[in-house]
Amino acid sequence: MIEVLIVDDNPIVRMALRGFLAGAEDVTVVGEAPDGRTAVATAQRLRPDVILLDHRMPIADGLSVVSKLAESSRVLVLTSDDADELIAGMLLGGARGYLVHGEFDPTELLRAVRAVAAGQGWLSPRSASVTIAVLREQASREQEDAHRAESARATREGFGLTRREQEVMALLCAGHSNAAIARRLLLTEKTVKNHLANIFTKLQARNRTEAVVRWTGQPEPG
Amino acid sequence: MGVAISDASGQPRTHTGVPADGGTALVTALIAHPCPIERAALRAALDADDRIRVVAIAGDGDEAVALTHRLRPAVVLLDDQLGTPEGGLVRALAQHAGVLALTRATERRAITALLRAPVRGCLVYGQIEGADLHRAVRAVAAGLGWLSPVAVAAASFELRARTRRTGQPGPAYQGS
Repeated sequence: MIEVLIVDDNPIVRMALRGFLAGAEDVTVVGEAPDGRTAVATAQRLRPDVILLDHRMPIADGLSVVSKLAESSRVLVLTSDDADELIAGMLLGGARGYLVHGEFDPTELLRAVRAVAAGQGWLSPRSASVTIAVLREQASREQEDAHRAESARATREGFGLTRREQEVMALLCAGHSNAAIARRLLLTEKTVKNHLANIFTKLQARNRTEAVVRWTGQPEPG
Repeated sequence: MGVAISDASGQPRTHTGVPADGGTALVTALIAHPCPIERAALRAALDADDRIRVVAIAGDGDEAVALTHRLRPAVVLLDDQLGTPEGGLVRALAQHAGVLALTRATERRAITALLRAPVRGCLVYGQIEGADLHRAVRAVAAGLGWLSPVAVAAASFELRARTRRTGQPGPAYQGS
């Protein structure tokens, strides 16, 4: 049996959704909540399989509680808003489905509830489109990051730092002082200063900031 | 064995300006599938919707590209057996049409790999019920998308996984 919690500030909508789901033998509505805060408390108490979540509600809106609710239940967003940012926010927050009022019938709602309960998902045409776009944007950003990391790595190898100098450099990049670097690497501060002098020469850097910039491959500020 | 189906009606072949629900505008479609029997089945299923007109059928990728460039269907239904892992075929088709991928894959990695190419939707055989095929075609024609339930699972998992890996927003930290 799929246990469902209905979260919507409009009692008429809650009643209509109850009615839509009443005909299904494998679905039972275990509770209702009129706002996000009540939804979180009710979900923690009832542990429903699926939460039908509206967005615009008083006290706490759907987007602000979606990730909390998604920790212990599967969330199907049911709302009249379908702005791209809201869809992306809900899905990144852990929602597994997104349906827009006026675009679905009871049959589709049931399929969506069953798909979400089974660990799959259900998206309206617009939310499917947004999902694919966000996915592709993330993939191209990851690819750019990988390229940047690769070119930074190649640049680093060109500097010819010793293993010890690389360790000092890593701590320098993490923002540590000479004294802190010395403590971490079990060296004297004087040895750290000697390492840094050699590093600056190899990196052709005049100071710590320049050294970090060269080493991380980030463009110089300004 | 590419077949261009004559379009005696002279209906405009455009995939813009269709309302989100598909409306009543005619949507043109091309089927690209290596199997004749499955091609015929898809054709019959699409013909059942009088708002969708199948304008061509292709049996391989080259035919699909040539017919798509010539006929400009709004939607290309592309069986993923014709695709390449690099997505070159999809990119060629996507220049002139919305691509709706059809796949047998239910495994997460296979589906996310498919979604890396510029497809507008992904229908998974075995999860296509009722009017799904028609709705998917009309959604893609309207510039929107369609994902079968198992494809939604793959896509949303990947979204959350990438967010965990890289954080949001902005690029991942590059320092050592």
